[in-house]
Amino acid sequence: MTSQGDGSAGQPPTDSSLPTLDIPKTRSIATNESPETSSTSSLPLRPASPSLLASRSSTLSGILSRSSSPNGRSSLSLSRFARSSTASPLSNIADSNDETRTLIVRSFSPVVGVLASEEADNLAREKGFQHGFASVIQPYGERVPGKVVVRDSVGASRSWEDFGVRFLNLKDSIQGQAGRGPEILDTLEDLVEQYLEQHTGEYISHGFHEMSPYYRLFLSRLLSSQPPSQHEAFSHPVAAVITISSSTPSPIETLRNLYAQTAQGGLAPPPYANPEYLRYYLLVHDDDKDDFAKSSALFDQMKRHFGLHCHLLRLRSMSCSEEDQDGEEMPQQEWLSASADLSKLQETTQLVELDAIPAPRIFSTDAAAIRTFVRELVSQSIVPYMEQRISLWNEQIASRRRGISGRFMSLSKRWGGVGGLGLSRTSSASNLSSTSSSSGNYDSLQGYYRWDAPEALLRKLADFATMLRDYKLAASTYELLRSDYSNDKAWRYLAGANEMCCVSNLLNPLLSSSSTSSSSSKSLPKLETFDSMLEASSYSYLTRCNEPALALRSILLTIELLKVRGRLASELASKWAIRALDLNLASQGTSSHVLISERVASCLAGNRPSQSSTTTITNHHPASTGFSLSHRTRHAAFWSLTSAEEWMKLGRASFAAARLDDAHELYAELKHHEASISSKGFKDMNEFMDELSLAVRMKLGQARQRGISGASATGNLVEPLGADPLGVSGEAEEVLEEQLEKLDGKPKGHQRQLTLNSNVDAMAGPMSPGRQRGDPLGADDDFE
Amino acid sequence: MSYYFVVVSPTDTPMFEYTFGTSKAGGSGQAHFRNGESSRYMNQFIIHAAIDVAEEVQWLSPNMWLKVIDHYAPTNSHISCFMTGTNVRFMLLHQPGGPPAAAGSRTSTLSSSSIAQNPLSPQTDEAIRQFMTEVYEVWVKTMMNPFYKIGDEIKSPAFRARVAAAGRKWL
Repeated sequence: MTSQGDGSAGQPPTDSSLPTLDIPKTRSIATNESPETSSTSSLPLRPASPSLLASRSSTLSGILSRSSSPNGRSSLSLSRFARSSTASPLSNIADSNDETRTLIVRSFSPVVGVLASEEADNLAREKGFQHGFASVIQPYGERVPGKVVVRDSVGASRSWEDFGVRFLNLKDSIQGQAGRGPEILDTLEDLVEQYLEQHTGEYISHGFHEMSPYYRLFLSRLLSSQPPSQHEAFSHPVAAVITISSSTPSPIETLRNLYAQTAQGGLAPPPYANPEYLRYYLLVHDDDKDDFAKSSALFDQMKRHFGLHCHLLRLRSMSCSEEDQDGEEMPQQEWLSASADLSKLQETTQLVELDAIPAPRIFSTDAAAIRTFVRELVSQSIVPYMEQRISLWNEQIASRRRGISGRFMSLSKRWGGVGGLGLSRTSSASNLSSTSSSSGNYDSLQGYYRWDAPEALLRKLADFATMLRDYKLAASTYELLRSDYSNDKAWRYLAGANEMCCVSNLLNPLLSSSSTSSSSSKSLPKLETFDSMLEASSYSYLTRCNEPALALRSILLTIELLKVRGRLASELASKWAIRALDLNLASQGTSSHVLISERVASCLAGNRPSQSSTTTITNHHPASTGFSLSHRTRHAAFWSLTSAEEWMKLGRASFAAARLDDAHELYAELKHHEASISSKGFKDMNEFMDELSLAVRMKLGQARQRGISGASATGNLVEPLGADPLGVSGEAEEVLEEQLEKLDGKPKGHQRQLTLNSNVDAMAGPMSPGRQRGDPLGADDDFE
Repeated sequence: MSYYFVVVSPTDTPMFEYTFGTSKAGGSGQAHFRNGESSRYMNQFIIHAAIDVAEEVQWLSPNMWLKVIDHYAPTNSHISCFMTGTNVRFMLLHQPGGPPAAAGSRTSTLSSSSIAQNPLSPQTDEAIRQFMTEVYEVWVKTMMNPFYKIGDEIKSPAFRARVAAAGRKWL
């Protein structure tokens, strides 16, 4: 907004902010037509070869645009256009809430380790997958085709369309990739930077309710890059797929050897992870080389030896090239850890520089075979296995603990020591081997429970329930565990239980319908409970375990889920978002910091009343509740402005412009905004906003000049300027000077102000002289 | 402790602004906001945002003194509010800390040091309430001035001096 001292002029501030609104829009349209698809109108955005640009934009759009279509995997050519649908105003609030929820729900998917024999890996390499067999099936696990029916603990069936599993190399899922705590956050930061870097100047519009695609990226990478930890079973394998190929010399022997490796060899899980996970045996038949009859016979033999958990997968060993008609592109992998994504990005960059862009392709028949395999694996083996485990543990451990005798037991354990312990030990399961420590099952030296301790099994039960989306059972189990862990002073476990207790309570769909109204429902625990649980979990993670990434995860998850649950809840969410910034979980001056401040604004803006209701109701007596009046519009605007300013500091003017527009829009909703935010009202505030928007505009204009060199002076309808670009720049310079003068505190007349506003688009044209003046302004805006 | 005091009109414009520091515990009476130069506009932003909360809290409390209504974590600023009958709001932003007091000023009493350090203590609350009440009295007198037009900025030097005195006395 450009300030105008003359209040009687009645120049609405929205008018003056319009030009800034225009800029990103025209830009994003221009960039949507990537050079490949558009015929004539696209202009080079930056000095890069078209192929480079195209391939990069397609990588990003593939990742970013998936946000707009959570239910169907669109093909790449579609997804390139899907970005424009992200910006469409049609997408409503409920959709984006669901989208966040879906993201979080899907992030808790079972991990399946893949252990392939040498020959199977070789076959994958022949097909052109350098990272072994796991990478062939990885992308297909993320969304199991068709519905997956899951029965919960009370016997009710629910079907899920978006169920998925995550295939990992068994080695990774057992030993964990390198990178812990702070390093994860650094990697994440690098990753977001990379994505931002690739899309400099481009702006993907999103409203207050929608999630910024970059934040979405940040969140999903944060969720998927946690290394396996002792305190939660999400990253421990639920099953292992032991794979041989038809060219393996002594198949049954190899299978046995591989099994032995998973049981007691080098790949045996650490003592805190449950070694009794499902083993699934996969025979890969090479259609191009080997005889199917032979493989079929071998498969029968496998079935006799290993039972039902077997599958025969027919693949071709030839690599699929661009020319092959019956090939298709591999789906992109959605759940990558931050480091994996980063290295992948770097890999593609290198390849792009060599001018060879091999999009991974696969034969359609192979893809179909893999899909069938994944579907069978999930719906016939993994889900039933998990259901069965849940009911077993629920019966043997949890239900005893929950009943009245369980209360007594945990009491007697607390007070009576050994006697009570013996009781609980015998009562739980006969197959539990006893641990030697007498003071409880927690090994405080090493910091973990053995996998067969009731506490660890309960945690596993709750995690399984979360993965199968039975949140009621999960929440009650986490609740149970919180007290256990706190008695044992198992801080890491305690933090995890608190975190997951919040998350599973908030994910429970049965409670959500009643609590979306302004008052939180009865069935949902009180907000203070969430507050204290979150407090406990973030404190334990951060201070006792030194795990900032986990602390950030717990806070962000809860924020996202709280945000949609009415006014009080979203206020709590905003409080925690600010807290996350305060705890320095995302350090000042990084893009993740800005992304979180954007979230604060979004939390606060989320439940402001619609425009009509503010104007009508505030004039009269407040509604009986007194709550319907309350809103946080000013706060939201303030935080939008904060993030605009931070984007500006990072040099991302188009993002800053978008946030600035948000802020203006929010301020415009206020009743007295004309008087309040002007040079007559809060003077310094107004001045700051003007300085910021001027800096943003100058920067944008500059970027434009670099990109589209003068071709942008089209929007200028009010006062047509000469086609001569020199004339434009001269005019723009003059205008700038005027504005700068005005900022110095010398208000000009109304007439001049009008010219100024109409010329804003012209300013977006070439105007190099503005730069020297603009930059110090931007640099001096020191918020903290 | 640094303070920023604003009288906000019913139409959300500031009618009177005054920035000062604590005079207790050897304070010089100068404001030392931790965000330095940017505090000039930041404080206005924070106060302006707090109007949101004031609008909500005013319906929940029968009192004119609304206590601490908002907190802005990044600069650790607290906002107290006093509401007059005509919907004019006295907003006080207080920010603890700042540069430590001079070394010789160990003689201060406990209560005054707690005002300077802990913005949520009952002592602080009470001190601000006294300050607000005093300002309210002065404000009412100013309003009765026949040369003052309701809704205008308060330019009276006497009012400013009285507010400054109240600030020195209580804060």
